[in-house]
Amino acid sequence: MINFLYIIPEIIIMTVLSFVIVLDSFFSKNNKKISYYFVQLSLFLCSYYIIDNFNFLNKNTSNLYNTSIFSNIFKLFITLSLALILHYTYKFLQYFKKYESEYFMIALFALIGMMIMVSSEHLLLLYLGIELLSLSLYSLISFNRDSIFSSEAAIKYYILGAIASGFLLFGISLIYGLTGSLYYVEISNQISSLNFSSSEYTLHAVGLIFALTFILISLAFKFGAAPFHMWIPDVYHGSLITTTLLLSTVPKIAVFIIIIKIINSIFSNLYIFWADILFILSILSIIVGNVTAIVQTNIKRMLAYSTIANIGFILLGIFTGSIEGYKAAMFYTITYVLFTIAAFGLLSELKNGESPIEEITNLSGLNKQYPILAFIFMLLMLSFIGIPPLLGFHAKLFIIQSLILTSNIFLSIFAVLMTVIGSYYYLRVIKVMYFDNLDNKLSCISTSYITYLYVFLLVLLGLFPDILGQISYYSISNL
Amino acid sequence: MIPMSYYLFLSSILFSISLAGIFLNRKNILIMLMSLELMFLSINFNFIIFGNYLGDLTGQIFVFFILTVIAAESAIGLAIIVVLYRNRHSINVDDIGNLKG
Repeated sequence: MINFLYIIPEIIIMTVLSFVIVLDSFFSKNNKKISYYFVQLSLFLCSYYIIDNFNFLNKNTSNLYNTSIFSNIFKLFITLSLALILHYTYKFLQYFKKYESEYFMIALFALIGMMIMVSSEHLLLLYLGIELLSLSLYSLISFNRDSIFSSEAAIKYYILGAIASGFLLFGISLIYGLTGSLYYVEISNQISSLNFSSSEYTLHAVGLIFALTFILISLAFKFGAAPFHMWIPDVYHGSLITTTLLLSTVPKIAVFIIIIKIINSIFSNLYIFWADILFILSILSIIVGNVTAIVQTNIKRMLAYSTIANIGFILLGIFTGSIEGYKAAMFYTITYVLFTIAAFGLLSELKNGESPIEEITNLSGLNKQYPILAFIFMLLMLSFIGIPPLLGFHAKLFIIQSLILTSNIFLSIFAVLMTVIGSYYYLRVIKVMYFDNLDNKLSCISTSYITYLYVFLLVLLGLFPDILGQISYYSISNL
Repeated sequence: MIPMSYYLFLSSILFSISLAGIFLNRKNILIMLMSLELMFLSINFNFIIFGNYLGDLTGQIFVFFILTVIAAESAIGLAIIVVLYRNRHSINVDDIGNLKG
């Protein structure tokens, strides 16, 4: 018996969304911002429902749609992050007179897509969730429709994203043909009955390895891991800074969960095969991300390459295949997302003349005009490098610790060396902010008390990393 | 009865042709969209064959979902192309190169 009570969070979002879409057309131009408040309301209602019914949702035994602790924690996290992201987006769009309520509705569609991805235990549902997310992102990227860059970024992401979904579908079709099922549980049972240890593989085994490769390639595309990272810098550069903020944070969490779930519940018996793939992906991502970021002058592009490097670290954690590694990877993902929201959010609150921040040199002399903002941005950069009292340090520490525990000593040395190389471009931003001459055109679009509060909480969280560590351990062990 | 491998060969060949069409095409974005369409149809072919041989309806149902989703996807793709054309009066693949670094 399917019980609809378990999908109330999705229903709340969907209901408010349908309501707002209709209602929005009746508002006059000055009242359109009411739709934005409705959207925020739905996000808070949804997170309230999840918190309030945490234990009830966990009782769901369906093998189609899973609402266990793991997916609930992530749903909560995604919803709250999206609320913060939309807050920044709203202020940004209002200031630059680009406000359209559709932006927020499409963002809600993306949220539903991510919720479905997180909860799905069936490959068809997974596919639909991923597509819902991607279709929303295509339209969000091309939102700034008067800009050449924006439409170009959108077409690039569209073509590559469609190829990636094609790969995913091809992998799914192979799995379906070989195991005759689309449920994670049944596929996993089928795979565990096969024997992969012998030197001669059967046709079944070869087909499954092909399917695994196709699915992992597609997820690496969506995640932005290195040989498939071409779209990340262009898309980040081309779209509005708040779209970049949305694009670089919440979808990454969703894709991370998919990777963990697929690897852990479908292909857990194929460890030797996916570990190799993830190994290559992570090493390449870390090298490409850290080395290419050094020569960038555009700050969005620089943060895009830093994203690729960070994704390499996350994959390094998953690569170990141990609970410790998963926990470290999850800790790293959450930390990365929290700090990226703060960094892009802060950038979206600054402007250069009458246009948003684009180049790193736009930030020069930030300290002389806005010492608090400069200090906050310095804290964020230091956290990305991994300086001790901040959360970024613990994240890197956990990853390296899990590598050492699984006796990958050389890999951990490599990770530390790459972190040192990566610190160059973060430190350059600090140098530009603190020691260069003031750029008179630099100013702030609004008071940013929420940013102060948010970064203060992040610093506090860094002093007590055990809170986040407990959460990630708790959710990973309830996978 | 034709063995299943023949069908699978056909669908993999179609898949490869569509991939080659995307990566080798240097002229027009519309051709890329056609190749994408071909790619999804080859995958549909795969699903139908597997569903038929397994005697299971899930495969055929999956095909309907894919068809719906790619319809929406091409709609968005065409909309993006319209926006692109308005901004730069060309939809040639070679002209897309403003974003570099």
